[in-house]
Amino acid sequence: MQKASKFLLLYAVFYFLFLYAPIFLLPIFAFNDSAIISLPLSGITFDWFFLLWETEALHEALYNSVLIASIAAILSTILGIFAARAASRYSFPGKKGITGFLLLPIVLPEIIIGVALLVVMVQLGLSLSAWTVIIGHVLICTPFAIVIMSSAFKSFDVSLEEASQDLGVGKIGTFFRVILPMVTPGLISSFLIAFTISLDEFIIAFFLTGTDVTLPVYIWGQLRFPARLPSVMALGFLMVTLSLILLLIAEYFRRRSVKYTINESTLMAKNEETVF
Amino acid sequence: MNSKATQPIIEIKNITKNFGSVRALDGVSIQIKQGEFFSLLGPSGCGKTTLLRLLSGFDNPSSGNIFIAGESMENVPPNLRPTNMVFQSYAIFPHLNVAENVGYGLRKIKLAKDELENRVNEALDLVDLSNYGTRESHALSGGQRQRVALARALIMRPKVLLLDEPLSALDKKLREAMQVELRRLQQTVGITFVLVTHDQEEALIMSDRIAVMFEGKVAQVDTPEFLYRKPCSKQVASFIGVMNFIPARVVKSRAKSIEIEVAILGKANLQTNKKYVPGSEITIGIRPEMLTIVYDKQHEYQNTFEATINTRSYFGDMTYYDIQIGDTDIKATVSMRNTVGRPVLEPGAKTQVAWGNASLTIIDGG
Amino acid sequence: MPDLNQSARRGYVLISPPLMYSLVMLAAPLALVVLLSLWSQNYLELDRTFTLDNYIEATTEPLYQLLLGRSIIISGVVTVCTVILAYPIAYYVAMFGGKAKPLLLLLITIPFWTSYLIRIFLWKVILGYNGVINGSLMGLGIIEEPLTFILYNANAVVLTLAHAWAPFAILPIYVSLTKIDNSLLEAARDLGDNAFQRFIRVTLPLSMPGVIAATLVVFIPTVGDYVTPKLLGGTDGLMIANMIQVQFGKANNAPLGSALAILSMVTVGFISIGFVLLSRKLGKVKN
Repeated sequence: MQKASKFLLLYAVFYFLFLYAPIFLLPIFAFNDSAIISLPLSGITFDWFFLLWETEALHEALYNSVLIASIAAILSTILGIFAARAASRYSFPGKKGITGFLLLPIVLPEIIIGVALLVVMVQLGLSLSAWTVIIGHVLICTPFAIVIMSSAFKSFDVSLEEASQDLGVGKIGTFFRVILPMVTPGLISSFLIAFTISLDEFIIAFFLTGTDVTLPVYIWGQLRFPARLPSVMALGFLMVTLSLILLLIAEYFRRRSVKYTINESTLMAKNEETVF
Repeated sequence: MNSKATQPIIEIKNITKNFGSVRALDGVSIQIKQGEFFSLLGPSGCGKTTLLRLLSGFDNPSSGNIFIAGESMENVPPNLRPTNMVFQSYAIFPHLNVAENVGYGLRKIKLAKDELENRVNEALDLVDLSNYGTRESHALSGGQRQRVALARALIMRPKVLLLDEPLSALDKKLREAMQVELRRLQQTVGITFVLVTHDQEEALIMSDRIAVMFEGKVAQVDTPEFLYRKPCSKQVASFIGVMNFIPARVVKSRAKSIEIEVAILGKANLQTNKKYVPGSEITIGIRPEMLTIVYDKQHEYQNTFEATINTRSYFGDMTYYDIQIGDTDIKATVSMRNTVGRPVLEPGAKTQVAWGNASLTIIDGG
Repeated sequence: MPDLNQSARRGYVLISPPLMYSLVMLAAPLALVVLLSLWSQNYLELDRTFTLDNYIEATTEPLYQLLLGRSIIISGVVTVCTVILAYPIAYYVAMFGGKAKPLLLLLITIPFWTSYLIRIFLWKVILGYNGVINGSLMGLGIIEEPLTFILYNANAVVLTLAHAWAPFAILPIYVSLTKIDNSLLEAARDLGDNAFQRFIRVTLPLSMPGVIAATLVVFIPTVGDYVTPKLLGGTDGLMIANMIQVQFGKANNAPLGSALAILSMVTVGFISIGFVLLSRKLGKVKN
């Protein structure tokens, strides 16, 4: 394998710095002993974290976010299983179009989704609540669940299912006894990704939330008060750390879901990987 | 075949190539003559592809040197060598059509549009793809892709054409047809071809000379005939075709021949210039087609022995018999053409098998 | 119902839950938005007579035109910058990543997964009057007065969005680069091309599908971004999404808001389709 030219390497380093620049700032200002978010830095303090601990409104928002994220993640994963299974195992007319439609929310501006759902809620006279937010989040999380579950199903050897049926277990039994256990890592990964997306999502929550605000909406409210900003930094730091941990776990499980079941094509693919 | 040149077109001098702790090539030296169809033959992992890549310039030796047309190829990149390569996967550019693929390497030379077109058509004619110029790459069959790859390389008029297992992706019938085609092409164009293959039949059919390689070393370099009839080692003998190995003992050693005693077969005289110590054990090789099953009770064969049929494999035109020699546990393979008067024998049958002095070869080494 | 084989029927059964959900929760609401855009708001009452007034207002009122035009231009600039900056990184990981490829990809996507809101706000911190850039530059003595042109205008919006969408641009380009068979590059080299020629004649054309995908994936959602212009745009950097939100909020004119939303979507749709068709034509002309 050739070595990259020095320019390319330098570019890559600067690019990564660019990508992570804002995130590196979080710990700096979260621990900074100053009420103003700017340089120069003062000493280190945990005050802002303690402040978070004492803020009631924050706890409520956190509770709402976790609840909404959990439910949305479960629902998206379930819908994702259905769609991924259909796409990977069966062929039917219009499959490409339908799958494309299901993946559409990834590309649609979130404000369009928020607006559309808001309109429906208002027209139907429904009040906004945690459930309206859940509905919106399931829309945007399901595409990701579909993608993750699809790759988990694809690396699944058909002959395992056939063997199960040959030994007398019916289709549904096979699904629960053979397929589901083997795609469990994909399930976990999908759940965690959907959970993270919902936890961090702002615009749709902003449009559709009632009196129970989510965490990002709460933060948005805090942004106009300069005095609250350091706590926001501390909160941001915690959220980023949590997201990171969840993501690393999700990635670990996603890899296991693909490597777990091996058939010829993945073996060949792995060979190509190592040759490359 | 032109071999007027006194200097070989390719000189591989004591090449060693290491990949980390793995030694892929160990002290390889080969000379290839101008205008030869030369094959590098061996099982997977023997180093033949590595050697080809060193010739093409896509990799560099750890030690040793390569000379092409008299010039050292040290530090010379692929695009500056007088070689061109036909890749195993053909590497046809999917975003260009056939004519653009074939003319790819000529773009640099800034030919007039007409001349470029002429050269491309010339190359396409050479590989029997006339009028395919406007075809899209994805619409080509495997055999057609291979010919486009050939045309693309040959249009560059290299001194040496390197081919990396070019026929392995084709089905049997096509492969056989292409073997003849490649040979004809090489003779028409007249340049040196160096071909890598693991298929010994293929090498035998196409090549002027073959280098048989095992584990990074060259075992033998010879014409197909010599490789087949006089393999220098057990390894080479088993790799090229099938060979029966039978232990023997040297009885007498003379100036130009030795007398040996072969188990159950009896005594035989073999011509050799090599000196053997009387009483020493050697291995004799005999090809399956050199053993004959005797059907006629009234036969005129001088040397025969009794054998029992263990298994038989019927191939339509030939039958291969695995036999047990006499009461010994020495096994051998006999191949017989299925002509009139030669019924297929079943396992368990006992039969006489004939052999001749001239059909024995001394196998040296391992 | 046409005669479907068993596989097709099973497929439909399985895909119906997510499909139903999307139809009810996405397609139907979108249809309702279209409907709403054809009605009008009469102070506190919704007048359901069909009218194109909203669209007329959306297309003729200079303010809305300005916002829509600016949104498209900003998105365009962001897309071009993001894709061009993303290509070398995708190239680096695809060609030189080796065993570290999955790790590098993970590192690239991690910033994306953290809270969008927080990231945008942090850019405000970086670019602000007392922010990190100004603080550092002044601390190093390079400038005496803080820079004001880096925040509360379109520049800030462009920079921040280019950062936010980077992973979306890198991944499609990366995927199409990895699909390029290495033997194609070796063949080009064997036929006389140097590194630069190989890139222009083989790598670049074959990575075009990825570049096109990256362009669409960045352009389409960026037009509708709300948070970045609101936090960083000042008055000169506001985009169409902000106006849409105002219509649904304070201005209490949902029909107009709907019309603006539909208009933006249609405009973006046309531009995207036009772009894809254009790139297909260009690809054919070269051959």
